[in-house]
Amino acid sequence: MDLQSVKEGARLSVHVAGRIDTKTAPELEAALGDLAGVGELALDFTEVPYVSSAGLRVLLALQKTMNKQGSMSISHVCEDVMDVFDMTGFSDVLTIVP
Amino acid sequence: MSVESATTFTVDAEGVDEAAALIFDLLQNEGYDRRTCLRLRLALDGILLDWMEHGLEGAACTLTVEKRFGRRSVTLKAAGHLGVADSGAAAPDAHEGEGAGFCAAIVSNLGLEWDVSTQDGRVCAALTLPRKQLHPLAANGGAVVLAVVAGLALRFAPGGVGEACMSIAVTPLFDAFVGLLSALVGPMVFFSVVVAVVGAGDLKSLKGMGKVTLARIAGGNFASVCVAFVVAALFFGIPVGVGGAGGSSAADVVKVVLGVVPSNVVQPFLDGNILQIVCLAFGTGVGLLVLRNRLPRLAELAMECDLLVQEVLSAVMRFLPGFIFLAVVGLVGSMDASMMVSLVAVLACVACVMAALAAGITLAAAFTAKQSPLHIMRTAAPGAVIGFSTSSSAAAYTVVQDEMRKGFGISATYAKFAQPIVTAFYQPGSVSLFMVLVFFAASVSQVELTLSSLAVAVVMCFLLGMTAPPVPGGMVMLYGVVLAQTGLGQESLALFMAANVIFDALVTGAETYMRPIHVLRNAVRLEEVSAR
Repeated sequence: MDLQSVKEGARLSVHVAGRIDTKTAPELEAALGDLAGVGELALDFTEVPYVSSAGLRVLLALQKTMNKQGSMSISHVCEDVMDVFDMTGFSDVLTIVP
Repeated sequence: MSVESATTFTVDAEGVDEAAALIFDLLQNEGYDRRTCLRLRLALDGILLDWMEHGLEGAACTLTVEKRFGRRSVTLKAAGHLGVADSGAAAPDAHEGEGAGFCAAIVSNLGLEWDVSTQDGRVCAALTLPRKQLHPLAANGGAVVLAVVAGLALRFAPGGVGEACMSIAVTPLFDAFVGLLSALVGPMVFFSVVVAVVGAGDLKSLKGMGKVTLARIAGGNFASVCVAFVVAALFFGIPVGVGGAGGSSAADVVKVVLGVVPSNVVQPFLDGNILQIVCLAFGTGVGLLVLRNRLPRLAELAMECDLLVQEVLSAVMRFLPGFIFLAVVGLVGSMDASMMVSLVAVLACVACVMAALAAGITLAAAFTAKQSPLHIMRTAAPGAVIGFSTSSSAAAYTVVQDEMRKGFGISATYAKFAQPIVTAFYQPGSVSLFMVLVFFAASVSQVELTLSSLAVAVVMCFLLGMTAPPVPGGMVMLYGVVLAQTGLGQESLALFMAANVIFDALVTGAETYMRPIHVLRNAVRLEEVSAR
């Protein structure tokens, strides 16, 4: 999995490339472990083909953290990942934007 | 029982991902649909993640896929015992409360359940996959084709064999199924109305919802019945005369209105009186809303009963292709040229009604929302295609949500609020189809209705249409009720049953097209549409 972050003021944009599965979810978690000072977290999922249960857990934790200090959105979600969010009820919890 | 695949891996991050990918590929190669493959992949990595965090990390695990009685089952066996979450592997503080419970919740949300046990020092988890089902359109269409062949064979069978088969098997089975469906309609209507009322949360919300969304849905459905009335009258003529079926004077309308309130809670179900059942259900729902804080269990019980009725219904509806088969065999066995003409006429009429409704709402929305009709048609078309091809509004649910939010610019809050309500109650296609059925049945039976029974028919179509379940074949169970409640004979029932596959596709396609447009019109009124 490859992560590219850009911070502009309180906005942190992260482009994620690759599957977020049991093996790679800890990498995402570690990379976004320190969100101090971030008011808006924007995740770009253009190149994410699959999110596993472990990945969902990391996303939920990030969403909870950002609920306390700002907002989080996920953009460019592919059909498979959208299905994962829909089937697990995450589409009601996460903010998914086109 | 035959083992199709057995793989051994280690319960660690890499092993979990490999096993999950393996099961996905295996099912995909077996022809399972993509969503089923994804569901099982998630369920598998969910339980293995749970095991990793409960003392089984590093254990050897076997993944077996086998066939039992024609159903595929997946079994996981890992050496060791499940313990409390290992602090090293457990979720960090950020995930507090989302450890084992989180994985279980994910699997539960997927609608799957692992059967976990311990055998000979090994932890076992087994899951049986749902039976691979034929596409509803293929199953029902196949039933029609087979039935045409069987019906022709019976028709031309020598020595009265055909007639004997009809009277001994086909007709009794068909009647039994109609009876079964009629018995289920009452509870289905009752609990769906109760749950809708209780779902409002409180009386204030119910009132607010009723003012805008429900009132406009009712208006839309009623307008659709009126359109169907006009089109069906053009096709079959207006079946009104003095001394016709169902009543004799305008005073009967008053009698019907007054008779909406049942004398007791059992009679409406015994009589199959839908108007009384709806009235009873609304009263019950409001009562449960008032008592919700004091007796929350009652509301929960109503919801459980609704789920139970839905389960029974879905079990019965599995036999729908068989039912269609019986209807078509009976029809082909006794069909003459005039019935063939009737079938073509009724199909043409339904198609015209659906086209008129779709065109009407497109133009109305273009005017209200100030969006071009072409844009509205293009936006709503993908959902309509899914609805038409699957005969299921549920299948197009996510696409319709996207159409509303991305295509029409409706706010996410309103789109999410309105879609379930609109899917359940905005049924312009179903209400119209019932109206066509009434006109057609009156024309086939050569029965003249009185004005009062025609008024009852309009109200009945309006109410029953809103309770049609959003599943393939959901309207079948209501055809007989419409005819019985309007005092018409059941002669047309078999023809409607036989053509139901086509009606289902037409109606669902039209409704899936119209729903996002209807929500757009509401959203404009509530100022829930972003400027485009």
